[in-house]
Amino acid sequence: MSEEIRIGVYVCHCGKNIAAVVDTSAVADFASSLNDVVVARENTYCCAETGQAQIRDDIKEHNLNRVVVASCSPKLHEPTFRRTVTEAGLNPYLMEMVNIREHCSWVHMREREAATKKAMDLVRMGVAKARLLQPLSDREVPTTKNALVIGGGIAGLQAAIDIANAGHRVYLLEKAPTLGGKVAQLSGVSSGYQSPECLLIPRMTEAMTHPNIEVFTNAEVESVDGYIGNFKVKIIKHPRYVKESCILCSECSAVCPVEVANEFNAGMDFRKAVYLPFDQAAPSTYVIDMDNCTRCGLCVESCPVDAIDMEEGEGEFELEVGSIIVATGFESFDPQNKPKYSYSQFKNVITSLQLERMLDPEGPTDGKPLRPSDGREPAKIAFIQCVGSREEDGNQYCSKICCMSTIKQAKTLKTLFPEADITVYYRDIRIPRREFEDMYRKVREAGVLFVRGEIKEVSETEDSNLLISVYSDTLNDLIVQDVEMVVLAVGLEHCRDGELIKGIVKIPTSPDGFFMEAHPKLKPIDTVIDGVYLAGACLSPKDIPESVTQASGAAAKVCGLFSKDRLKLDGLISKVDTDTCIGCGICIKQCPFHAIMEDEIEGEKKARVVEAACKGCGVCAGACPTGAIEALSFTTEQLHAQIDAALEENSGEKIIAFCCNWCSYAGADFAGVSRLQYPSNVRIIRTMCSGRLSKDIILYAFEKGAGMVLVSGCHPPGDCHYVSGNYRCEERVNSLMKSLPKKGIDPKRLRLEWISAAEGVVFQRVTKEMANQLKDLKG
Amino acid sequence: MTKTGIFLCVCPSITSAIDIEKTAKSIELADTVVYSHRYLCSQRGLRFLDDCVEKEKLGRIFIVACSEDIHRHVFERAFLSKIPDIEYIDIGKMKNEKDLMDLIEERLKEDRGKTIEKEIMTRDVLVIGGGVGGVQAALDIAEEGYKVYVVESSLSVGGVMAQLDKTFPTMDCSICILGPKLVDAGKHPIIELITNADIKSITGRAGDFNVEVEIKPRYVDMGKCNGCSACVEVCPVILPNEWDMNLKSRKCIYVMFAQSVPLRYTIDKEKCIECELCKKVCKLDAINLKEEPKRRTLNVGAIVLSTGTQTFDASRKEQYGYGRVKNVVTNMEFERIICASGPTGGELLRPDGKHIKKVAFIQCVGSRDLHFHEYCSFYCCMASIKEGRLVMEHEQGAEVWIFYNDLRAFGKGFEELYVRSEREGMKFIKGLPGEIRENPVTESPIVVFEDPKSGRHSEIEFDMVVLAVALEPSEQNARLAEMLDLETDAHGFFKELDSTSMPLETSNRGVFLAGTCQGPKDIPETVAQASGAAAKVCTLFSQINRTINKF
Repeated sequence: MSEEIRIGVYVCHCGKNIAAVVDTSAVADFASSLNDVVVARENTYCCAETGQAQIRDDIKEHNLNRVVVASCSPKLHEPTFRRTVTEAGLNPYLMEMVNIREHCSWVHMREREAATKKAMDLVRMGVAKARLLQPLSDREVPTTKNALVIGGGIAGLQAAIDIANAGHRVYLLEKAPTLGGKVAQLSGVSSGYQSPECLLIPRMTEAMTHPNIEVFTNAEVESVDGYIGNFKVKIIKHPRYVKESCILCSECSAVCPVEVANEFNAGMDFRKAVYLPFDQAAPSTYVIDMDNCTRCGLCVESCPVDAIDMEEGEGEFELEVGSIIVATGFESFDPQNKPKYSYSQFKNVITSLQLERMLDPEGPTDGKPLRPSDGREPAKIAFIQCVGSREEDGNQYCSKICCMSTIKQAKTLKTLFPEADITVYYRDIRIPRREFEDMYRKVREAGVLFVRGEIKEVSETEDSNLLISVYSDTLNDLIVQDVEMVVLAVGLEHCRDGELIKGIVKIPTSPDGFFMEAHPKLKPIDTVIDGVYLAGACLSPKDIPESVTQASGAAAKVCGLFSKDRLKLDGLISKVDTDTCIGCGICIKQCPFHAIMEDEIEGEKKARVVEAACKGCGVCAGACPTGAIEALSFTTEQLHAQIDAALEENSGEKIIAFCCNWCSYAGADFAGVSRLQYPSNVRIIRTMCSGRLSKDIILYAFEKGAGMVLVSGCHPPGDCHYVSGNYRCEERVNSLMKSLPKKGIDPKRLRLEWISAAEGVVFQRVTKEMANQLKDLKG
Repeated sequence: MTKTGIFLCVCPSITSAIDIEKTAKSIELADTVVYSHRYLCSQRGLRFLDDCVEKEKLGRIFIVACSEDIHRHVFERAFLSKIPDIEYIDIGKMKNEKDLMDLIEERLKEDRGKTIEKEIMTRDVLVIGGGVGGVQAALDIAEEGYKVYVVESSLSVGGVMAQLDKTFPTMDCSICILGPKLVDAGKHPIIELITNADIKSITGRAGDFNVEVEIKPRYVDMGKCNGCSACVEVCPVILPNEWDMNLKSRKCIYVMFAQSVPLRYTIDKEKCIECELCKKVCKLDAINLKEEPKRRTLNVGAIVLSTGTQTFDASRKEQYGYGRVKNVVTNMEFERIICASGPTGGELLRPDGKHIKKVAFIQCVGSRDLHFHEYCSFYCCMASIKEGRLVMEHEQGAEVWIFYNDLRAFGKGFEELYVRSEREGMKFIKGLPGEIRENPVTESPIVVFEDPKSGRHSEIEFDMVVLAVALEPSEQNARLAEMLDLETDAHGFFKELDSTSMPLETSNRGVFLAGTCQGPKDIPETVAQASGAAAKVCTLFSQINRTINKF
């Protein structure tokens, strides 16, 4: 049922932008001479309303079924012209743009003739591709309007409450027996204006009582399947052994014979095996720590309401959610890993978290920090900053919050013990919040001494006092100070549970273990997995305001997603021809988005594209050994047609430049915008990702006589818009490079370059070099 | 007669002049029961409340606790279905016990036949300021399905970020990542960009604000102009280009920058000689030299403020000689010098044509300085490291010195970039220079400082000195704060409802904050906050059907 191809070509003057350099009427004449071209016209401004109207009229009048617009970069006006043809009843994917401005008139301004020739070539390439274009449909997937929030700390709570308030159902999952996270342990938050109770407890209560929020504590994610709008999440709920009917009478813990170090108070006192994590815990129900329980049964007997059930089993269930927010938080650095601080060796060396607990009026020392060795009020206290942060041989990053927390703690200590000597050993004081500079000054005015230096060692004297050896920058000398208590300002590390989540949800992490955002500047909340967002310190060390803000941001993303009943995704996806697919599974391994699954058709393994998860990079098509999987709108046939058209005349003098849509093509556009002149024998072919290219496609260009071939993509590691497409491309080009001599092709004729969207200059340099090289090779 | 329960919260964190437990014991009123409880807002507290309501068949309750903004809804959500009559008294606002008692008695006497009225809600949103924060907020709000107006005072959206060359710590190109966002906002079916416009007045409240906007004339018809630039070629008036910090020229009819959104030309009427050459050449008949300012009234339900910041005037810090000593520039000027699309095409040249090979960056110019701004400007340490790296990339063997107070590299990937830069030869000098003067022969600035290693007075000549200037609140803030009845802090930044836990909300229920108008921030924090503000708008609007109690 081959339909007759009827193409309309529109050559734009763009005022003088194109027409001053390119002989547009000659280009239009040339276009009309091409096969299947029914109508070819010039237009002063194709994008202006009159220009668009001309295209729409022609589609109807001449029964056009393909449209080629030769004007500016598709990055500028592809959406415009797609809309134009749609308005005239054509499928939007049957429109092809040819870039004769950024890639031609602007970069060959002094070569009128060559530019016109090039414009003709580009139009021929566009027509060749247009002939093979197929109508595609935008994908629509339904959305389940429930969200899952993993982590019940301040960030998870805020995200859950915001989404719930917007009217959507939220499942809030917490691994611990209570909501609250790390903020629950703070005695006062950094700015000191508000106590953590005020910001945390109402949020915990709200999460517990909100009609749209369902809280699961003691629960973990087992697996995540599916894609944006349609995730299936398996949850394991560990037993609590105490039913909701618990009336908090505390009889059980009174009789429990087992004492365990109390993690809530940073190990400074004990709790029982049956316990309430802290007074305001939510859910406010006791819990049994089965790892330490001896199953003596005393609690069961003592309970007046029969709330204890030692036989409670593990529950497993599945949730269907449209979106997931990961808010798994952080862990405090364990200073035992750094022997020079002598933590756990000397009693009076404590962590900032332990001091935090002691400063809490309800903490183990009723709000008065005391020396652990003798319970005395310390008269000389030293803070040591950057413990577990900014290290050469450990965590390289800065933990962001420790300077603020130390200043707050020093201030509180100075108020409690006005006579005490307090010294802070630091490297740089880093306090990003505007109100803190003032507090920093006031603390210094109150007599807290700040000494810049590097800690060499902490040792102990006979009376349990401590000696700190510090190399001072300012004095250029080693100083030794005698103190009664040392507080280690411990850094933040990524949460180990996050490791698990990483494996399950498949969000990449950076080398320091924290989750990676989709783009550090413009998508700081998104991940590379559509529909999965990040909030709080699981991304990098963050203070409370930043965590809360980001959590609301993640909630906004979810609300945006849920504002529609169906999600619209573009039609640029991959498609498998099951007849030629041999089920080798290479595409499954190389797909950066886990969007290809293994299927069985009549007992044979076949690849199947999960359309909703596919992002259309074409990495699979570049990898497929049999050409069974195709990237729609960038098919091998279409790319071949473009190569053929580009090399129809004087093939040996041409440079074929394969450019990825996001970086290199945009880089070439930028060379145009910047009017950077480069040789006119370059013919650019766009693919979505450099990973789309197979060795065969590159070879095809050589077979057809291309003088040189440039393959260009986004800079590794992070620039690739499809996670790892640039690496796949690099592997293939490197391997091809080795085999070129065997095929009688000089490897110098192939070049791989990473060119960013900003590097017009690099595009210019590379193409100039290649043109010179081509001359030499021919010379 | 219904019984009233008065619940006083005994919270260790309430700092009040009142002894709550003592007060609780002393209240004796007819038909009332008085309770005190620790952490009424906790789940345990709510359970206690619930028990009391059941047991005593309470028909009305008074909650006497801390901040109403933070806590009221917790009680409302839990009890509104049972008891429509929840009285909330913020104990923090009570001066003494008598104050509290008087208020309780007064409220008890009040007629309870109150009206319950439905809130009027317009679900359109106004974003003031079209920088990266404003644009992100607009995109996210529009994604939630609400119509957004972005009012921007300059000719294009984009803000400061559009002027930057690269962004730290990834060193990716600023306009490349911002540009597509601007285009998205420009093309979005329910976002309307109102550029070159000022807010004249705002009245009303959450759900129903009336905003008067004045659109300044461009003298070019936005509907007709398609950005072809034919007019620019013929325009005979050449002016310094503010966008490139006056380091380059532009014509009198111009666009702010190549990626401007909207990409429409504007005539700088003050400088125009009315030769009408542009009018003649414009085939679209878009030029109208007689255009007048226009007024528009917008009715919106919520407002997001993202007015951004302005930079400190470096000449105020006299000892650094800005404006007096040649080749002392601000970091914003330096961004343009080093930018590939900037006035020198990305080559590192001084105005006298000399290649820049030795550069000093001076931190905290106007920040952390009691004479000017006490606060830290947040971005400058990393901005200087970034610019220093660009210098080292541009010129082999270039020397970069950074004079600093504390090197504040606290964000994701910041410390790593700092360490790498130091390892690659960037010099970091702890301590700020005392003065900068000019070598009259070479026209190069000489930096006078105390060498922290030797403690000696030192002088070094550089090709260029870059001043890392402070961020200051936008001039618009004070006016907007007045219109919206908002507070600004001592420096003039907008004040959030609570700096720790409610950084997006303001004391005006329909107004939210995004970006540096609240205090200095970097790009990722601004973008995250903008999305956060979008969530707040969404939650506000989803309460449209909620009835609120009016007294």
